[in-house]
Amino acid sequence: MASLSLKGIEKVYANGFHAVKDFNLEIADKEFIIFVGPSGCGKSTTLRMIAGLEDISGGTLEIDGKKMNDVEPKDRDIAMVFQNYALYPHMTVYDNMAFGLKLRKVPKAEIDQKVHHAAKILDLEHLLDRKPAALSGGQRQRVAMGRAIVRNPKVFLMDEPLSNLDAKLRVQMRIEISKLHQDLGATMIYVTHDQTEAMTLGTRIVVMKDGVVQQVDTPQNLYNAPCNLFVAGFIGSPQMNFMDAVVNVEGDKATLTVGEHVLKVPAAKAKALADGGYNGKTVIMGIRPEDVHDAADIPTSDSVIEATIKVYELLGAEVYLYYDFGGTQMTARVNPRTQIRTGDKAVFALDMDKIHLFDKETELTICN
Amino acid sequence: MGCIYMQPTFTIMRYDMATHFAELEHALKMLKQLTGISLDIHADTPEEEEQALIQVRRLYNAYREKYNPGQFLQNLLTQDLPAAEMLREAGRLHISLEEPRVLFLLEMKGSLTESAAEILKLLFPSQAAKALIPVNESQLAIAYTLRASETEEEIRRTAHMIVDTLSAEALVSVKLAYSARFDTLSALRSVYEETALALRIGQMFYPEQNIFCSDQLGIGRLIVSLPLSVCEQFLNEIWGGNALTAMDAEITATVNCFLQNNLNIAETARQLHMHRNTLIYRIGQVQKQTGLDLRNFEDAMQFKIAAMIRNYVRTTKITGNK
Repeated sequence: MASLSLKGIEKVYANGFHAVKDFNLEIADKEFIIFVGPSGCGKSTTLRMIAGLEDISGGTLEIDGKKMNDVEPKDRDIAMVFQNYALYPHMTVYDNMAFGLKLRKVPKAEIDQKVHHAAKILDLEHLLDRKPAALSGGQRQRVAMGRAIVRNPKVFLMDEPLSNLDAKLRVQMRIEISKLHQDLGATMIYVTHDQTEAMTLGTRIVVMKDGVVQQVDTPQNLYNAPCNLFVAGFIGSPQMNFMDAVVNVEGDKATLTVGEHVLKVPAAKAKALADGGYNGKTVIMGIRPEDVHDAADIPTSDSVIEATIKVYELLGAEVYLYYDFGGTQMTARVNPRTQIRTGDKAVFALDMDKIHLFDKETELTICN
Repeated sequence: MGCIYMQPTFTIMRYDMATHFAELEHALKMLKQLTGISLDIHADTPEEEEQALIQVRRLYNAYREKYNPGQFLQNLLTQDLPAAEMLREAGRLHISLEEPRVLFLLEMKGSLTESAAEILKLLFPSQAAKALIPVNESQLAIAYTLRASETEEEIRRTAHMIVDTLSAEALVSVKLAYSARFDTLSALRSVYEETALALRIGQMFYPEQNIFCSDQLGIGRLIVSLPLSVCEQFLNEIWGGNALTAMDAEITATVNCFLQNNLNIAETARQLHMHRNTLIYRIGQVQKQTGLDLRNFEDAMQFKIAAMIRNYVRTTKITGNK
């Protein structure tokens, strides 16, 4: 398998559209890296540059220490899996998986060995004689993966491979891809716009927006310590709650005023606000829905707010409560045993240790 | 002396020599499969027998060329065939003239590889013989027959499937344009011209995309329909005499980023890692040069259109392609 190095990678199209800007990343051997971001953020373009399907406008791409900028895709030792894969309808599963190798004039015995090996990994051995029409959606997806595996590439590149599957199958295939990564010990780069997919699959995640890398980190760190407002909002479902808050620093203590509510800020965060010169300024306060508690569960909390519930949503294991606070709509994720219902006046306790504060102008994180 | 008698309905094989028997039998079988014609062959010497084999093979090749649907479709794509000839040829090749179809036009970076053509044949096994049309060394068209119930969304998905499969299997970069639905093959030439235009416009104005639909070309279609002289006149109005070289690369990149970010100064400055005052200074430079204040929507729109036209004029002058 392989390590990759992307240094100052740029993609500028002939019409001046700057799709990828100064992309820097070191990918270690056997890593599972996810590129995630909204549509048009440059994640697929970056993947296609790694594959050689797009020219690199600037910067250097290395695979295992060798510069690859001008190397033909077929000579990069990569395999790709796309969203809109198709199996050859008149061929058996075996032939579908073997076809790419036949095109490369690989000896028959070697093809046979590779196809059977891949089929074993993917649990497709009993289906090798079937035609695609006789397979389920998940089985077809596995055959598509098999076509990549038989090539035994240095790097697997996957561009939203699960996007066309229904929700249930996606969850199942997510588990299978994760297992595949463990079994193959391969370097994998996976593109998705779905943050849940990114969080569950990746060892590290690259969050992109408008062609710019926002943050590269482990799923846990992205969730707990986002570097800016965009990452904080993009990672996590339901989304983090954001509201404007006016800072008031007095000595080593600080409060945040949101609407008519005054909230006490923990000491470490108060210091960050004081050191950053935010006294008297408006910042953006973020708090995740699970850090807003039904006050009945934490009677000792002194950061409480009162609000009227607009929507009550029971999801079985948890309840989402939607309400207005300081002029913005907020969500609380609470215990399903809660007695609060739509129209009730509810009291919530905010876990102020878990709040995130962002500079209103630069949108960069002040403290997490 | 050996000779060949053509008997269109049945075969009388009388053949005594064994030397080329298998080869000759195979060649005759192939000829019958292709044309329905059976031949009776007499050969007295090995030389005559060899001569007969050569003649049968020549006949087969001549008929294969004549019965080649790809050749017929290529002719339809590039020429205005007389209606009678079109009907006759289509009938002979068992190609239905009146069927709902869509034309996919693919262009590969570099030349069309054997692998790519092979993949396409396998993707559409029931249509391959009557749908794949080689256009030139880097382009290939597919006159794809639609099911009656096939929706626009399904056609779009097929287009994506073609591009993704070629990218994954043959590892080639593919651009694809596809036409609107058409119902008669006699329209193939005009449909091809429209689709080829879509491919050209798409690559010129939306190079970041791989798939272009001929009825979703936006302002690009308007621009390419303008005479070059009118384009140049417009550019002179905006940029003065040095229309094609007026903006340096740094200013152009800055402006593009500003337009991409919906005229948002803070976001653009952040993305370009520059101070907002530097950005404002650069926008001021553009205003000095062109009189357009990019912070104003109307001026920004005019600048954007001018940039597209400039790109079009420059490309057209380089390729000499109007």
